[in-house]
Amino acid sequence: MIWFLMARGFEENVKALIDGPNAPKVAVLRYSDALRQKSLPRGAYIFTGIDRLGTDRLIEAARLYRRLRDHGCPALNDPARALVRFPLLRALHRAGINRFNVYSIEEKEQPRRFPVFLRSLYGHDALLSDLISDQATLDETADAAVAAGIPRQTLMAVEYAAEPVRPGLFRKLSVFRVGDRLVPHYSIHDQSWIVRYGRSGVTDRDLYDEELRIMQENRFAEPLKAVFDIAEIEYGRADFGVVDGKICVYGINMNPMVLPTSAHPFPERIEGGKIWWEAFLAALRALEAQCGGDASAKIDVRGHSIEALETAVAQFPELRDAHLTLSQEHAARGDSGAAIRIAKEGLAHTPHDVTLLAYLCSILAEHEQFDEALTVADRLIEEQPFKAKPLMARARILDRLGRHHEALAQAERAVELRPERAYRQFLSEIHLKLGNFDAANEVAACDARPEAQRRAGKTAGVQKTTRRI
Amino acid sequence: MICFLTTTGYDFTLKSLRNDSGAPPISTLTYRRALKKSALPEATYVFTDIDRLNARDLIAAASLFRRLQQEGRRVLNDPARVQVRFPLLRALYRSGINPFNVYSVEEEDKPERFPVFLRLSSGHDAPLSDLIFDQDALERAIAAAVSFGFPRHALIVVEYAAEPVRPGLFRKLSVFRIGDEFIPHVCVHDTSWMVKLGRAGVAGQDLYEEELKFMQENTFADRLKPVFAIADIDYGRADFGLVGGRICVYEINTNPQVNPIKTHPFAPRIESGRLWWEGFKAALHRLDAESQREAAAPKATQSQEDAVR
Repeated sequence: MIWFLMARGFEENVKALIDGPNAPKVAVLRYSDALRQKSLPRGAYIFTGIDRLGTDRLIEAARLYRRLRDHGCPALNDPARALVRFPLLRALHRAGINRFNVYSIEEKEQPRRFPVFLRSLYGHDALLSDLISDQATLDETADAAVAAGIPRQTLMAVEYAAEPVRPGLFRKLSVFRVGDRLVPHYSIHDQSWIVRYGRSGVTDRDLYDEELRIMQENRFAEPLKAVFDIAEIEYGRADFGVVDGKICVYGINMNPMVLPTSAHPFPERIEGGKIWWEAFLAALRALEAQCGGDASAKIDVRGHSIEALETAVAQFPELRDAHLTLSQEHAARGDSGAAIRIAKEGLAHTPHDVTLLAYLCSILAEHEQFDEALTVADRLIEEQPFKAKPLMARARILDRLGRHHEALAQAERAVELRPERAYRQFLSEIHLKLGNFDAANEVAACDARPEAQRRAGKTAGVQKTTRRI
Repeated sequence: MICFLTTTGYDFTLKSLRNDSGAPPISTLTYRRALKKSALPEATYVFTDIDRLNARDLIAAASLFRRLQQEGRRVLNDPARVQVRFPLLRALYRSGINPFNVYSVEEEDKPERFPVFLRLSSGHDAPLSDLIFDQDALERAIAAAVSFGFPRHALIVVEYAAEPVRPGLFRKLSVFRIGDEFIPHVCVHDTSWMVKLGRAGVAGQDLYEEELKFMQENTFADRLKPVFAIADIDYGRADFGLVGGRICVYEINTNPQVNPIKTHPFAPRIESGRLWWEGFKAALHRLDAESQREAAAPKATQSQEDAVR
């Protein structure tokens, strides 16, 4: 089974695959659903519409991608690596593949050459202007687009780069990538340089004949392979033209509409369409065959990929939260030894990381390594001398060691700093253990007062520390 | 009524304000709900969390902003114009306000000077790295972040620009903008340049007294006005430091957590906290009153079929 992950509203794009004959088993899964699941069916997963995800969701999608790879599931388009339109076009220009450049409107970049056109990075009505020949008109057009509600951060100016295949006739070529295979797609012809859906009746047999030869030879597979590699995109359709014999790539769509060619007046196009569709289905079947294992089995996709985290830690041990997350993953899988070792290794690189110190203190105590836990608690208190939590952590460890008097002193200090119910309850328990019944009752009585009153710091004249210090 | 639009899960930032009887009526509404509604109640609308919206919601939010504006509502932070972190820091550098530059990881920009640090272009979590002193270490840090699963296109590299107020002590200053008003906010002190939530006990009476002076005089308001203007942000908190007497703006948060300061070991901080919270609420009251005056002007009645929380 091949699962297409996509944002809501784009399911139609692969409908022909779901219903079509000879297609592998294909299903659609929305990101909003997939990212909530603890487990997913074993299968191949294609991450589409990466440019439509917000950063939080993109990070979650990248985490899922890594978990799927952990289980040996083929997963295409790493959300952390795939280049979306603007940086892709920049990268292709820098690589010398595209002769034309793109410019960010938000950063007020000025085109080096005109004409350009204005487009939005997203949406069906992405093209916002015809050709613009000077900076003043570009500024005016961009301002008008923003005034109309197109977010400035989504606008870019693109240098014009197109060449008619014959006077007044433009052609947009396309190549699909599915995993390792590059599949030629039929062209689109139009009388305008804005070749989007094509115009019927503008082409003749000669051009369809040429298209068929291009498809039979898969003529552009090689140069497009380099493009997909730069983009780090393993599934998608690259649209391009040929200018002065050189390809000009306009974009890669990670969730294009896929349709077989049905009726057409020219047999060459029917044949070209057949080549495309069959090669496309064969590539999908090859992807499906890589899945292996029982397709009905569920795989655990909770948490992070240990392999990915280990790579991150090896590459740059000081990366924030890398050791912490890796340690937590080991702990979640029951390997407390590895969890503790990794947390300690992390602290060797980032000795002042209070989150990691607090975590190590807690897992050491949880596994009854109290002496070490106390040492870590001391370090934490040194880092955060006016915070209640480290003091309370130390108090709890001392309590477990039976050092109740010391625990009492720490807990009293913690409650002074933060008189919250859980801390007072613990303080009361310590008093009881020491036989201080009156003190225990007094602390307990405070707890009977309204929470709001206590939170306002009105009990026992205690001053509460504030967040901004 | 002032209604804050937030992304799902980020309305906690306004809890203290909603619960404060001295504040004007405040409500929150998630973009998810707001974008589905055909009508919204009479209120002033503050669009927050612009950097957390995906492309589709950003476009829809910009459209909602215009719809509300056309209906005569007061609206703050146009999603089509607000500059989020990366372009804002670039713009501030180019304008000469900030002495430090930022670089896009995805575009493989190489820093002109080190040290730098790595962070995400959206959200307000701590940076992903401590200070990085050369290109080789930076490339390893970037590779590690991507291996971890941080999207390359959300990574930015920021040149270090901070100066301790005294050896080993850093201070982050903040100013709020609420419509046309600029309200000073209390500082955060830390022993690290990475001043986020602060570190208790590191600042003394003299620093809190200086902070109070800043608050009473609203020392930095005029210097922050052009920053908010460049950012096209009408509501938010600008965080900045002073380096060689110059302001260095680190970011503007359009949905910062707002809390009163009730208790503190130092009296000047209590007074600063009071000035901040009272100033903030007063500015919101004036914003609300102004909107009510505008709403009272004769115009077609709007449908109020939907109630917001």
